[in-house]
Amino acid sequence: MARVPRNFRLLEELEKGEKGIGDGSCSYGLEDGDDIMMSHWNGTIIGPGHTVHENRIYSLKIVCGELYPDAPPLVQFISRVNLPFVNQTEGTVDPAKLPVLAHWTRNSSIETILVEIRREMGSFNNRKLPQPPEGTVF
Amino acid sequence: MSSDSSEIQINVKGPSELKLQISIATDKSVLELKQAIADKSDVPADRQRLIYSGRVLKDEDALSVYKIQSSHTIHMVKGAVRNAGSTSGAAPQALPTMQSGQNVHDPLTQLNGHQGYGLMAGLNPFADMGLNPNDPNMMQGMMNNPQFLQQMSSVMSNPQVLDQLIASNPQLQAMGPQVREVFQSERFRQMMSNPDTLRMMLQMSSMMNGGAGAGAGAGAFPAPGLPSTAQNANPNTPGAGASAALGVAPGAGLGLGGGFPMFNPFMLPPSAGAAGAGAGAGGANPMAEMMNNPALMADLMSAFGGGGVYSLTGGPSHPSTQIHPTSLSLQNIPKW
Repeated sequence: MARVPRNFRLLEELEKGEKGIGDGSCSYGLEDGDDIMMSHWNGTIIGPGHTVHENRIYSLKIVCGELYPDAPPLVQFISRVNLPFVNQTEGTVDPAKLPVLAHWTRNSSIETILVEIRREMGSFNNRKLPQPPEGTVF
Repeated sequence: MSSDSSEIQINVKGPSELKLQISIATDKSVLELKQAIADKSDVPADRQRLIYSGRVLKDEDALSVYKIQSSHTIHMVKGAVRNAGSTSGAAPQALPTMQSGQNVHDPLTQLNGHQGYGLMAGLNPFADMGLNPNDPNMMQGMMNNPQFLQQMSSVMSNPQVLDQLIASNPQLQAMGPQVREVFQSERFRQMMSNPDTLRMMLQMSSMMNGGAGAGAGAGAFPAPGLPSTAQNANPNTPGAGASAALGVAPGAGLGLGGGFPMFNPFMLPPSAGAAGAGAGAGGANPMAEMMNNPALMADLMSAFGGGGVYSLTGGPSHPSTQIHPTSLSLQNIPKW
């Protein structure tokens, strides 16, 4: 029973991702189009302008568990990035340190997570953090 | 493989509203797609970075790898656009005084912050935008710089910033609500965010100064409706001390330089008569209203021109219009 809304929701998100949202500063899609459960997703964030992240493209992995969207997905950076909520050995995003995950609601989506992370990159505390060389991965 | 190498239609979205539709076979490589995009836009293939469904497309892969379907959208980002000076990855430097004034409720903090209001970050080290303040063509350069224009427009459309601007300048404050009205009117903002208008103002500014001297004060400004001396002035007067139509203040964020009268869109050459008609008839035009009020105009100009605004000026030959980097720093702004 719980599966139906989950998959319905994810289908919706998939369609939105394929059509492309906004200016492309955040993008996401299924890692493998044959993934019937729609669990494994890729995401990209283009670093916000006038920050150390400018012109960088960050890749992320997002895993939507069975409880999604009641429970938040797991989010992990593939590209190396130095942010307070990102584990520096594995690239995992600490849900407790990212408000959108800590205060997860059903209304949040993969898109909102990416947008929020991008916003965090541009926050005053994070916009100037020294970053590892572009293109390095966890 | 050959059976599913069908032709698909992809939407490509790029920077500055660029939208393309490209028909391509799915057995073509990403590089070939980039070349097709390059043919239809001014972005060379090696500068393009393509993103689809959360993945950066690799040049050597076939499009079929990514299972792109008809009517799906690929985002194109320009890579390595910036000139050598700013690609170091170093953080743009904000003024030290800005950092000490951190306060979430302070719009100037936002100015210096994220969400596109990186005004200080973008403007302060002029080299970042390839601008040299000593270059007489600098203002022209800025006017042609989409980055600058975009910042101008986001700044001007933020009422908080305008309030701050007014509040931070006692002279402006003293002028009462009219200034706010002018600033906050859609019309004014449109003008401020229109590259052509700005360019035109700049040209006018240098013409005016060529004829009337470098004085940025009210004296240089002919009464509304009167034939302007600009028509007689040599527009090509070099080093005319073209007081910049826009001043950029590292404290107040943004000010209007002595060339303020040039904001009147009706003063377009060659017809000075049109200027009079425009100012007279344009009741709905805030600028015209302002022009009809010489007292306000004078106030405004002395506030802008003489109020310690960091005026970007193009004429090194006129000491009076040189840049005054220290004339308005954050310390001068009252605490709020």
